[in-house]
Amino acid sequence: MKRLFSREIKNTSILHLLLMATVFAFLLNGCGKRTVFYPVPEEQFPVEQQKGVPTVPKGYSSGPANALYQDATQAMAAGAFDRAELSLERALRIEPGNPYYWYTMGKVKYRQGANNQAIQFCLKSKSLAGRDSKLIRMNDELIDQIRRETSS
Amino acid sequence: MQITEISEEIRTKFDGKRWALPAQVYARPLEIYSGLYLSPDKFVKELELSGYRVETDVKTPGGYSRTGNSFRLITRPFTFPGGEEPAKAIQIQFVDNQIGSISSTISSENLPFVRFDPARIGSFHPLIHEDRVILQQDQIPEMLKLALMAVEDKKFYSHHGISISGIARAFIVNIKAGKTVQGGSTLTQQLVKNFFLNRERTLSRKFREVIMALLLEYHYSKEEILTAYINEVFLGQDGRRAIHGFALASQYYFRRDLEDLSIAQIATLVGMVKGPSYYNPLRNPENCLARRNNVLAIMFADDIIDEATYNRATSQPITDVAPLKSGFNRFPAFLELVKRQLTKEYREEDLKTGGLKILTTLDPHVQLIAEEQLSRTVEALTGNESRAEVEGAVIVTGRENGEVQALVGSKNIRVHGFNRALDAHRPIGSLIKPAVYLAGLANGYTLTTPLNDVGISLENDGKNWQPKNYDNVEHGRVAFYRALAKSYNLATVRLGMQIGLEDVVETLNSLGASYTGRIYPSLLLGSLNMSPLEVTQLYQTIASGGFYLPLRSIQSVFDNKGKLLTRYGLKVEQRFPAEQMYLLNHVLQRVMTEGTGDKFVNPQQVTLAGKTGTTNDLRDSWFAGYSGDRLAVVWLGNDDNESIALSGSSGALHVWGRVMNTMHVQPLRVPEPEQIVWRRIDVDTLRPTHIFNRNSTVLPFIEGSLSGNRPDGSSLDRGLEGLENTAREVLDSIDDLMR
Repeated sequence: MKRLFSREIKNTSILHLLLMATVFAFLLNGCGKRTVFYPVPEEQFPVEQQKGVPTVPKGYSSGPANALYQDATQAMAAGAFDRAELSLERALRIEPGNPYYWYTMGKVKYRQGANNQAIQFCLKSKSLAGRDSKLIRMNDELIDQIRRETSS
Repeated sequence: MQITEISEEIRTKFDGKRWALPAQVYARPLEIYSGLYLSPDKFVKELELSGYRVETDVKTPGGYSRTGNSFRLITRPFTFPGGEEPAKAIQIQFVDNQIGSISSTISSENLPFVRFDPARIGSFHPLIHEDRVILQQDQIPEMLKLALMAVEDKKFYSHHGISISGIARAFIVNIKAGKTVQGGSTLTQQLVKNFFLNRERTLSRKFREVIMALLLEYHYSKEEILTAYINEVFLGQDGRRAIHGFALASQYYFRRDLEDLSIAQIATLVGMVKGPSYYNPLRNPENCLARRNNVLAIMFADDIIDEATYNRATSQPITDVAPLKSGFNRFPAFLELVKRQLTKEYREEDLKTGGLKILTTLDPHVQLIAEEQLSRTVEALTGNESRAEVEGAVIVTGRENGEVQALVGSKNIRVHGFNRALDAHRPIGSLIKPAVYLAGLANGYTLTTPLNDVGISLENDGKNWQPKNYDNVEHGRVAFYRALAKSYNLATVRLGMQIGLEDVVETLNSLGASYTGRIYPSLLLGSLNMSPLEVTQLYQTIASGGFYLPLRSIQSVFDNKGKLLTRYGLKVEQRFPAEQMYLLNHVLQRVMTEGTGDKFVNPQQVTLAGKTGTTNDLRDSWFAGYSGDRLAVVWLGNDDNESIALSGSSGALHVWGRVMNTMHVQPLRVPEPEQIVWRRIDVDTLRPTHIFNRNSTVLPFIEGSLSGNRPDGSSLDRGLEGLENTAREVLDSIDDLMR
């Protein structure tokens, strides 16, 4: 859908002012803290340990890429990390901006023992995560874990 | 010559030739899924390139039928790095120019996506104009061997290389006729002629042929000789390409793999051995039909086929398809890139004889668009004027994976000559500016830091240098973002000198360049030479938000047994913080709407980003830019380095625009890092202002840069615009929810 509001507000219309007023009322109502409207991923994500039907992060799935992503999680569950990598690369060709796929790629690289690349994929995921604080935290945790393991 | 010497020669040559399996190069596999933008006609083009054939009733892999926007087809099996993709019988429904649904013809079940077998786009054969698909012994259909022996050499399994009775019979027939009408050659002798001897017809050559045939039989098994024959025999000519072997002939004449051929089709090919030109099914269909039926009659007489089969086969037409004008070496510029990348890891010898299977990243659909739009736009831009010598190059890659989808090295696609995409090293002009401004952002500049766009005199490489703006006007105090969007030279030089040239070169190299030359001020305006491919690497890092992605043209390499040798997977490396890249991306988007790229016509109404580049006296015209899914770099120039009278904006941008507009591109959406805040700025004072100021614009800033630490000492305090900012975020969020 076309964006309703562009970054640049060129014409200040009455309608716009009314909308602004509504928004201020909204803010004054105790919602001053930034609201995260991005879809919240499932609790269990990532799901490579889970056999059977993998969970799909809500709002981040589109049919074909998601099917490939599911292939990847199943391959991970079976310990076939190279196959998981291939499926994720294909998923990323269709949906290159999906930060969850990049994060899962980081997981795959970690399991393959390619720690440096694992960290880099997590950084990539973070750069695309916007304000999805949960995903950012998941990435940070994996990065920390790798750094702890490699330093000890 | 001694027998032992001939023997040695045979062994050396036969072993060499027998195992000379040229590397086969494939395009990327087409992956289709519901929602993919692809027109039915473009889809047909893809199928054609992969050698699919039209059939009314689709029964075997490689056949398809189309009814309006609906397709039925059977894909061919193909081995990918993850394993074999089996053949699939599917039905595809297009809705407008998108794929609506894909379902299995057998189970009617919906399929989320289907991966096709990729088109073969070339091979690295020792001889440029020869092509063949090599089969191993166990891949040859029994029917072909039987038919071939029945027609050409009935006693193949019992003779020792020559057939005395055959020679005697031919001798008598020829004497009676008064000329040569029958050859007495065995398959072994025919192979010897093809492999080792020239075409002269003398007694000594005949003698040599006989000796060699006997020696060949002595050293090698019947199966080895028959296999070599089936792979070697000449079966026609496709333009400059010689069609060798039954496997390739089968693909060329029938668009089928050899194992899928009907008996009538096998008989056609076997009949052609006698005279590939005279019995050519395309040029001489009547001769071919008579010959084929003759072959079928011999097969029937020898009990290879029964009467019913014979009757059915003789009633069939010769061929039901147009010959496959394949993509074979159709994309020489891209193949050269593949070869250069391969020769870093493989020996030339392995490429030509190792039977490698190389899966590349070439997207034929994108490649064809890039080729066509380059030549058409250059023609439209230059017409019949003196600028007719304008040449060009185009490279298209995946924005987030660095896969080279298309590479064009000349406006004359068919001419395999100077590959400008790889080898034209030219000054990059203003394309260097994002590196200068990125170095500025790393040094604490913000998008509103004022820069002085006024004349400057510097010592450059021992000479006095006084750069000028493109329009020869000095613009005075300009905002950082505006100087880049408008590509002001003076402001850029001053910025670069303030940061320090070393910093700029370091940034340039972090982006992917490998500049080690002398450092002098005119570098700031792009006086260094780079090829379009090198520029693409540079902009890849910018387009992917500061992550260095090595450009890849190869996905994987298999050996001749189908074992995966090397896979070139996705690799990323963060070189710049996401926040700085976000600001740079924002300005490069402004280039397209209010800067030097604003001449771009944007019918798809998508957000794009890019940068123009022009060099002194309009010698080079560059444009590098990206959408959400693709990065494209265009260079136009003259091979003699003469002026082409085109700027980046009046030349390369047009090619770029047409390439982007012909493809369906995704809009660029760069996720906003957490530390980004937006402020409304008065465009003249460059100070924060209120929402009612019409002479204002909203710009992103890195949170910490808002107070105190701006290089110009000013600060941005949060006033009314702070509230506006919060309101805007909420509006955006509502917008996101409604999307």
